[in-house]
Amino acid sequence: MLYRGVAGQWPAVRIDAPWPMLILGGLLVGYGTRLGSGCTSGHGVCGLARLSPRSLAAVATFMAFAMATVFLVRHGGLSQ
Amino acid sequence: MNASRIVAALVAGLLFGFGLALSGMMDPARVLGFLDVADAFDPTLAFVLTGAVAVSALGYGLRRGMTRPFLADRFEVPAGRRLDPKFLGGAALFGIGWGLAGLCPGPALAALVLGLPDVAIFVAAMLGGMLLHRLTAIRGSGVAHGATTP
Repeated sequence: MLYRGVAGQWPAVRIDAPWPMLILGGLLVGYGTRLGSGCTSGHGVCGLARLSPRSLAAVATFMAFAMATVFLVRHGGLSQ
Repeated sequence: MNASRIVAALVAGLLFGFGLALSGMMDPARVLGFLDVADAFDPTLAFVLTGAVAVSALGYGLRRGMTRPFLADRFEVPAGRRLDPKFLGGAALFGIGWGLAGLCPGPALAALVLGLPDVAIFVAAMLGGMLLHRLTAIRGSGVAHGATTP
C-alpha cells in the first residue's frame, strides 16, 4: 500500500497458473517451508547474509527444484 | 510487547513489503521468468537477491558489535545445524511449489492486500500445507525444527 502511494499504481501481479496448480503449489510451499525451516526470505536473504551453510544448501536445492519444475511445466508438456 | 517494538515491526514490514513490490518479486510472471532458465530467462531478480543479501549482511555485521538489540533482551538467530534429508526435502518441496505458482510466502502475503482471488487461493493452500506439517510432525520425531523464518 506504501508502494501504491509512492508509485501511483498497484504493483503488477500476473498469475497465469490455473487454480489446481496454485493450490498444489501453495500446499507444497507451506509444507516445504515448515519442513525445510525457511523460504526465499528466510534462507535466501537472512541465511545467506549470515553465511549459514545449511541455508546455502537450502537455497541451492529450492532453486534447482524450482527451475526444474518451471522447465517441466513450460517445456515438458505438463501444462494443460 | 511495548509500543516502540510494535512501531519497529510495522516499519520493518512496510519496508519489506515496499521492497517486494518495487523489485517485482510480487509478480509471479516475473518470478517464473527468472526460474525459466531454458527460455525467456529474466535474470533481473538475481540482483534483487544479491542486493537484499548485501544489505542484510550489513545488518548482521552491525549486530556483531552489539551485545543486545535496542528493543529486545537478546537476538533470536536460528540455531539449527541439522542438514539432513528432511531439511533438504523440505527445500525441494518448497522449490516445486514455488516453480508451480511463482509465489513464495512473503510476496504472497504482501499481494493479499490486492484482493486477487488467485493469491487468496494460494495463501489458503499455503496455510493448509503448514497445518498439514504441524499435524504430521506431532506423531513424527517430535524434534523441534529450529526457528522457522518464512
